[in-house]
Formats: sequence, C-alpha cells, structure tokens
Amino acid sequence: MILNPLSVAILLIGLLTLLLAALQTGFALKLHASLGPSPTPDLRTAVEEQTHLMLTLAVVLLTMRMLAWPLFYATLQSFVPDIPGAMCIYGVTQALPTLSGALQVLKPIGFFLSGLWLLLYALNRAAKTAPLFRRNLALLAGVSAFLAADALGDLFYFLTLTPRQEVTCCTLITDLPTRASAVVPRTLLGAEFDHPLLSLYFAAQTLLAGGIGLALFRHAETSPARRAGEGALALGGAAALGIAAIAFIEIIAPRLMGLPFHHDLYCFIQYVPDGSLMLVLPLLGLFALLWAASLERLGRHEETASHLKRYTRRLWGLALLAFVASPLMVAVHFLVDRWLGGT
Amino acid sequence: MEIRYKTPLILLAILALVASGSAYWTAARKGERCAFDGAFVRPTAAIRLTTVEGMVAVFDSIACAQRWMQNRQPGIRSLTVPDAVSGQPIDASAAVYGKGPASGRIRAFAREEDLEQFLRWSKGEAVANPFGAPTERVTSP
Amino acid sequence: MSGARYTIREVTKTYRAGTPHEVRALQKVSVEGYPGEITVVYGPSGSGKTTLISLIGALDRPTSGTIHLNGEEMTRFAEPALARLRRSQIGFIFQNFNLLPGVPAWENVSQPLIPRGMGERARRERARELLERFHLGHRLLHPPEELSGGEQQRVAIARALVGNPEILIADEPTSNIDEEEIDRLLACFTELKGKGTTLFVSTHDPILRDLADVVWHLKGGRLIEVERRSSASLPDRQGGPPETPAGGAAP
Repeated sequence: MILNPLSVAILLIGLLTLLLAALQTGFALKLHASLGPSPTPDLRTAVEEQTHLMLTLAVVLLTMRMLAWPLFYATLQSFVPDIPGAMCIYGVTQALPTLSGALQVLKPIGFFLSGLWLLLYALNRAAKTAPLFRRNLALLAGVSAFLAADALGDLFYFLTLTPRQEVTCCTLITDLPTRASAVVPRTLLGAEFDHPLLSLYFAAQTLLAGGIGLALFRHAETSPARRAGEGALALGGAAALGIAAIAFIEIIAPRLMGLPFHHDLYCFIQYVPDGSLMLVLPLLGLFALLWAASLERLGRHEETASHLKRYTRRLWGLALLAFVASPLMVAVHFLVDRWLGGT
Repeated sequence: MEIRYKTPLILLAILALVASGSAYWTAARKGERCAFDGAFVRPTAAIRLTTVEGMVAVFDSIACAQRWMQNRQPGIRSLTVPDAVSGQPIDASAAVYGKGPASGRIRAFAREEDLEQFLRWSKGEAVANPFGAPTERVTSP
Repeated sequence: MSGARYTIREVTKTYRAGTPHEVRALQKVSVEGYPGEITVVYGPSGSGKTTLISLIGALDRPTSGTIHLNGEEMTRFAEPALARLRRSQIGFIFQNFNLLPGVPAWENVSQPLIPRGMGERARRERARELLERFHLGHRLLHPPEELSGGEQQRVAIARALVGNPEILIADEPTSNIDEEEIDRLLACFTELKGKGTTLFVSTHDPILRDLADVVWHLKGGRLIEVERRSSASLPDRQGGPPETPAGGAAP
C-alpha cells in the first residue's frame, strides 16, 4: 500500500461507498419485495415515505462515485514517484494491470448506470401514478450492487498496490511502431494515415452531429421508428467514439502535447489542461444516446409517453452538444497552435 | 417542439474559450521537451539526435535517449550530448562518459581531464559510450 | 359523475389499521362536489371533518375507496403527483393559519409560488396585490407575530389564493377570529364562489352553514345527511347533484 493524502481519501470514499451501497441494495430490494404489483394505499404511503431516505442515500452514493472517478486518476498520478520505472499514470497502471484495467472500465459503466437510474427516477416522478416505481427500485438495487463492486475493487487495488514492482514506461509500449492503435488506421488508410485519419475524425463527428440534429428536428412519432432511430444513433455514437479514440491517440494528443512521437492519453490529460474534457465529452455524448435508447425501453408506459419524448430530445440535445464541443475544442487548439506558429 | 439554442451556444462558446486559453497556455509552456518522457529540456542539458530522415529529437538525459533509441532503432545522422562542464553540445562519439555512484546518471565530457576530475570527486566510474560508439579513449581513474 | 369536480366513492380512512389502537376516522363516505359551490362539512369534534377535507385536499390517501378530481382518480396518484396537484390546484386555509413566524407577510403569501420558479420581484408584486385586496397593504413587511388574529387569517387566505387554485379548503376558519373578521371572510368566500372556485369548509360554526350551497353532515366518521341549501345556485351540470347521501352511508 502506498500512503498519501489522495490514497487515504480514495480508500475512505471506497469504504463509505461500499457500506452505503450495500445498505442501499438491501433497502431497494426490501422495498421492491414489500411493494408488490398492486399495493394498498396505506402501504404505498409508507413506502413513499421511505423513498425520501432512499433518494438521499442514492444521491450521496452517486456523488461519491462521481468524485471517485477523477480521484482514481489523481491518486494514480500521485503514485508516479513511488513506482520504479513509472513516468506517468500508464506506468502505475502496469503494476497491477488487470485490476487497474477492470477498474478503469467499471468507472464509466458505473457513471452510465447511475445516470440511467436518475433519469428513470425523474421519469417516474413526472408521471402521475409512478408506474415505474418497482422497476426503478430493481434498477437501483442493481446499480448499488455494481457501485459496491467498483468500490470493493478500489479498496483491493489501493490496499495491494506496492512500490516494489518495477514497471515499463508508456513510451516502451504506446510509442512503438507496432502499437495497437496504429495498426487499424495503417491497415485501412495506409502508412501515411495522419491526414486521412484526422479528416475521418472531423467527418465522423460532423456526420453524427448532423444525424442527431436531424433526429431532433424530425422526431419520429411512432414507437418502432423512434426505436430504430435511437438504435442507429447509439451505434453511430459508438463508431464516432471509436474513431475519436484512435484519432486522439495517433494524431491529436501528440500534436496538442507538442510531443509528436508520444501516443499516450494519460500524458495528454496531464499536459493539456482541457485534455480530459476533450476525451470525456464524446463519451458523455455516447452515454446520452445510450440513455435515450435505454429509457425508450425501460421507461415506456402510457403515462410516461409525453415525458419520454421530452427526455429523449433533451438527451439528444446533450449528445449533440458533446459531439460538437469536443471537435470544436480540438479545432480551436489547432488554430491557436497555428496562429502561435506551433504545430 | 421548440428548440432552445441559447444555452447550448453559450456553453459551446465557453468551451471554445477554455480550449483557446488552454492552447495558448500549452503553447506558451512549449520549449523543448524530451521526446521520451515529455519533460521540459534545459538547453545546457539537451541531447540532440537527427535521424537520417532529418527528424530531430531532443532528450533531457542520456538514459531517455538510450531508451528511445532502443524502441525505435533510428538511423542516426548526428547525435550531440552536452558537455557536463560547459553545457556546450559535443559530438556523442567524441565525448567521454562517467557515471556517479549515487544517481547512476551518465554524464558526457568534452575533455578527459574533466572526466577524471569528476571521477575523483564523485568516486564514480568511467563508462563506455552509451550510444555504442568507439570507446578507446575512455580511461579509468 | 359528469360535471362534478370531486367524486368521492366509498371512502374509508382508518388510522393504525390492524392494531389494538385502530381508529376509523371515516367509513364508506360517498359524495360529490361541483364547481362554484360552497360545501360546508359540518359536524361535531371527532366526526371526521378534518380527515375528509385532508383527503379532498390530497394531504392524505384513503384506506379504501376512490376520489376523482376533474375525472382523474387521484387516489392512484403517487406522492410527487399529489404534491404537484396541491401546488397547482388546491389552496388551504388552516385552523391555526400555519404562517411562518418571523417571515414578512408578503413572503408568507408568496411561498406557494417558489416551487413554480417565479422570481422574487414577481412574487412580491403578486403578494402585494393580494394583500392590498385584503386591506393589508400596510402590513407587507410585518411578520405574523405583529399581526392580529384576523389579519393573520387574511394573510393565510391570501397565501391560499396566490396560486389561483380551483379548489379552496378551509379547516375551521372561524374558530380564531372575531365577528367583524368573520363577515369579511364570508364576503371573500362569496366572491370566490362567484369566480367558480369550489370551496370546502370544515366547521361546527352554524354561521357558515347559512352560506353553504351544500352541507355534508358528518357524525362518528359517517356521512349522515347531504343537505342542499340553495337550488338557485346549482351549477349547470348533467344529472344534478345527489340530494341524499350516496352509497348508503347513512347510519
């Protein structure tokens, strides 16, 4: 275990999350079981009175996990001097690569699930008879259990990580000509893929933004058409995010960092102040599209129909904003660099 | 249904401003960076490598240059290292090298007298040219 | 049911059900309320008046039975929907006024407008308008403890009306005010009735009975009589109001 203020903070948050998440899972399951499909008015009143506590718990829990995500990376960064061979977060993650990789995947999934629960909660609240209440409780139990697993992973990772193990530096992996992120564009676009890949990046983001804009203006009224549209947009979002990830690793990050041979996004976050924002925005955009598609399936009810339409449009609006903002920020960086006589 | 433009446009404008500020800050910080680890390089510590393709890479330490070259195996047109005494660049193959026992950091010297003085003072040892050039001129204290 | 603002069917309310301390506050009450009508819920203490108007005001749910408001079964509503309903359609005047101590009259009046997202200037203006209508323009900045009982009640009425509710519910409104204030209150209720507001007034004060279009007589949690006082004021509706207790509620 490496002790510093950040590792203590993330351990405390992990411990507290684990306790609250376990409590919340049990609480949600109990309410779900006691409510039944057709509760009496008195039971319903009693359950609703308890939901205030449940919501407070949920908000505390989700806020803590939101804090734990950036704190996780900040803590890894703080370990760089302690791990022999590590020169950035990448090196630290190589000390326990499988667990650190899993935790890095769990965190955005936790964010997505938490957001989905909050949206379903709000949708249910907007309806008159709370028709999604039981479904919402079941989802809350699932999300809480997931967050508990994530917190448990954090605890295990930060308690077992020791400074003894020597690790490789990112440059020995990410900057090799045979790096994985270069193989795909080299195969598809040829050896000189820089300009075509950058063009593809801007084209993909613009196309997707156009698709979302079109969906916003010509919102399908029939359910199957809307579902198909939402599915297509979610797939498009995933593709655009994939292209963005490769473009960032191969071209954008090295250019913006001023390190033309360096292909490590951890360093990008470290060197370019708004780097993390540029990376998180397309992810948020994809999540917004997935939230819309998931809500269409989980939140469908005659009472929620009008609200669902409004929510879908707002989520699409958020996705549009996110998919426009990230390339806009990249373009601004390029323009300022050029204006200052840089890359 | 009504579409609201004002808030998203304000947000986009703010993000564009943030990006331009960040780009300006990053550019203002630019100076030469180590091609291996990205650290800023002091001019008197710069190791400069020019590949046969004409690409120039700068490093802040001999160790970084070595590891970078191990990864890439570039064809080298020229390689200069800083003289540990004057900070002036000298051809890597013409320099002599010594290593202090505490840091293990390899230093380059233009003159053998300077290397010997360093080795006496630091109780270190002379090492061969870390870039693989001839080492006949290197002597032990 | 057509034309009725409220339709109450077979409503029972039991507190602490299934325990040795079970209280049957209302038993199988069925009745209807119409727009522009003043309904007085009349009965002695403990007869279930407050329970009934709490159910009508969506402050509580019945143990069994249904309540429809404007054709929608509000007994099925979840708490957030009931809260929205109370905020947007129902005004309350409580027996003890329930004003916030230490808070100026205008702020007390404008409280229901806060969840609607109205800005402070607009809220203040709306509160001033209402307080002036109730002759309290000079008391805008006075907290409840600096007001007389009658003035406090007028502030409470202004607060109940600030959101333009369709339904006004008053619980024992004459119990804490003097005769002069009672006259003002009756004038206010008559004016609201003229504007189509449905009023439910719980009382055991005979003065208010004279004002009523309909009187629901409660005793021991049962509706024993529905007395229609003024056929001239009957609202335009299909089928007409029931003249006797519906659902066999009489003992």
